[in-house]
Amino acid sequence: MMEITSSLVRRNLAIAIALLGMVLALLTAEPSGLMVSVAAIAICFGWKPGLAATLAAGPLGYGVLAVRDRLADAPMELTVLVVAAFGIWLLVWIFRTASFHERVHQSARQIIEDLPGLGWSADPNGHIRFFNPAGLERVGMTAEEMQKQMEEDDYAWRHTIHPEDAERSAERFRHSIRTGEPMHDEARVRHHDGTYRWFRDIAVPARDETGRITGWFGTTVDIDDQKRAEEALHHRERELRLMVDTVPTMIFLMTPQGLPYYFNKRFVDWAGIDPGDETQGNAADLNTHAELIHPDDRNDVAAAFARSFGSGEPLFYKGRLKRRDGQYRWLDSRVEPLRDDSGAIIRWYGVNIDIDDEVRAQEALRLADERLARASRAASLSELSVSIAHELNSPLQAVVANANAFQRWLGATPPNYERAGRTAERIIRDANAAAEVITRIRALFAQTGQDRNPVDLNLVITEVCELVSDKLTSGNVRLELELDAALPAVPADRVQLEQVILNLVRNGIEAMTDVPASARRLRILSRRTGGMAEIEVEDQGPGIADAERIFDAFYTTKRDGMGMGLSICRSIVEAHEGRIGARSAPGEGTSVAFSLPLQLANG
Amino acid sequence: MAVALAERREDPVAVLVDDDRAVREALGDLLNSVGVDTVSFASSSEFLTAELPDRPGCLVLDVRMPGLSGLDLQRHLAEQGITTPIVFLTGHGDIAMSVQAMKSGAVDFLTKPVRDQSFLDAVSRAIAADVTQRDAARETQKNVDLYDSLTPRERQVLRYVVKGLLNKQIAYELEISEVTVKLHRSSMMRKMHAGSAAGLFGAWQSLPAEIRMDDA
Repeated sequence: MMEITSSLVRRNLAIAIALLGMVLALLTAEPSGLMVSVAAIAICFGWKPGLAATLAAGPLGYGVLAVRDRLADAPMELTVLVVAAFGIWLLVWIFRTASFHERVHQSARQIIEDLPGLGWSADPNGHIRFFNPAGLERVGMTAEEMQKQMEEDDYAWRHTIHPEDAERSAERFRHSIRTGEPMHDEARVRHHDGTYRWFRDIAVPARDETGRITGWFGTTVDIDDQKRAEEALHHRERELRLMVDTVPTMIFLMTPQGLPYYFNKRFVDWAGIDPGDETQGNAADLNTHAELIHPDDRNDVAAAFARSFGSGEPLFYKGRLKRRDGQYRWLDSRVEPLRDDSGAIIRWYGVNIDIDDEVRAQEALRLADERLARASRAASLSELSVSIAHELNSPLQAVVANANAFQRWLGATPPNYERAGRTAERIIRDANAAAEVITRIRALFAQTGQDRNPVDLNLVITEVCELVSDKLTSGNVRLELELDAALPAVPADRVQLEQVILNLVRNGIEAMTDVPASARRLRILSRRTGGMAEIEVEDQGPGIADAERIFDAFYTTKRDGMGMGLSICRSIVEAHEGRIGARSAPGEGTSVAFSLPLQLANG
Repeated sequence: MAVALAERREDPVAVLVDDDRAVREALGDLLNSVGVDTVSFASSSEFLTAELPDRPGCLVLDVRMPGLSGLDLQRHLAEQGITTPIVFLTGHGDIAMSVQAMKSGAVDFLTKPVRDQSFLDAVSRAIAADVTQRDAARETQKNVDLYDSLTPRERQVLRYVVKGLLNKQIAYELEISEVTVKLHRSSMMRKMHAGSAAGLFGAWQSLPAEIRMDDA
């Protein structure tokens, strides 16, 4: 039989056959001739015109019967006609589809077979129709074996896929069948010797002129070498990323314009910032990060960056940056440009190292130095006391020894009045020498109080307490500070006031040596009373019977005391135009208070 | 005053070294009032260059003085073999200093201002120690002089006697007759002013070690 390849000829022929069928029906008054027309239309024009013809067969048949006046047979004849026409249409529709697919695959078969890689085709519903020889060889099956397996299970091919990849591949294929989207899949495919290699599977649907999917055609390419290279690359990249993220330093990248666009994990975790989008910076990010810089350092850092971005010079700076917990920490930052062959800057590399602990250690060292300096200033008073003691010791020793000798000369038998008289003269001389020492010391304090600057007494108190914190701790003394925060500064010699307060605090601590540890409480108050600033130091010691006398030189309640401290305190306070006083009673502790004028009358 | 002191050879004398005149005078006065003579110096060097009376006594030294300190002076005197007892006075008691001073043989270490009784007690203890020491030294010197008057043979006999050897054994050791040993022995006992073997032994014990060890 001749092949009719032109669709136009085919169509015209079909129209001719259909008309012939209708003419035949009219001439014979037999509607069954219409079935030829229905078949011709269904076969040549597709299923929609076919269905229309089938439906039209009823009225047309009725027309034929009416023309020939055979309406008596109509119900029977027309029923047979319509059912038969519908049957013809259905058969044509089914076979037309099947033969179309068959034709499609047949025509594609040659191309697939010639593919250098693995090739396959499938029905629109995903039923695999064909594997090319390379594909069959790969899995080690004959076409028949494959055919058999395929008929049992549409997805039998997935048994040739690595178990870890099979389900994903099947799902992708199903997805593509459902939606008509091309399929891209990468999976390990089993060789007949049992080894797996990576293949990339790409399947596209074939469509007819109406856009209907007529089948799927897939090519499967061995990408194992490529895949391994890629994996090695990924591995190296991961390693590199891991290294960048784990080196104990913060790394960041900036565009040539200075917009930050990458921060390593350390930096991200440290500062609690976004990792950046890793491709380009944006100005909003820059502003966010600028706000992390300590306000005091911001201008310096901005200037340093601007300088480097302008000149292309590497950048070194130290500044404080806010950590995610809100604490500002010192960082040592270095930023260097990366240049291309022409010398143009491609990006900036930055490194931040947290040096806060070192900075703080240095700071602590400096503070310790300062404390030491202050302590030695405090020591100077005790050292002064030693030299005072030494100076006073001799005249006192002389007075004591002379007085004893005096007594013995008089008590001798017979009394030696002559020697006693000489000794008495010496007693007077030496006692005067001792008094002279005291006068000199007090004059010393009155003179050196010339250096008057505003002094924050609260600050002095806290510093003194820090100075004696060891003594407080070792003496189990509980410190209570009640400082008036609004206390104005007083014009004073700071060092001298420090010594007064230190003296009072020390006295308080020492006074409580013999009271139970639970009762050892030292209270320090500061307050403003009129035009005076008043400081009070209160202990819970045994108290003193004659509180007025404690400011006298040589009056002491301590076993090894000189009785000089409070006397000097009084000299200092009086040199500052202030007053000092004490309240005490045995068993009730002692309170020493001094007040200084906020403004000097003659200064 | 030195002349007056020289007249009373066995009366004790306390030597005060203190840079403070008031203290020197007062302590001197105090000691005088209990009948102890005193000699005072304002510094260690003044003390070292002075001619001191040969009388029992003690040194009262101030620890802190310009120039040679009291402790330095103690060391210096010890090197010279001078064993006069020392009482230290210091303005500020220092345990380390006092330990060192006491180890070096100080009688006492007192802190100024010192109570009169403590001071007087310390000084009289020191003087007593010096008296004993001087008596012992004088006894030793006497015995050394007696020993020096012995002939070599008498010295040999003396050594054997104090070792507890009998005349017969001594005669054997010296390879002389027992009669000759007896002659040497009685002569030696007489020269050593020893009435008995026990007395001889006491005198022997008081002799300086270098003599007793000398086997010549």
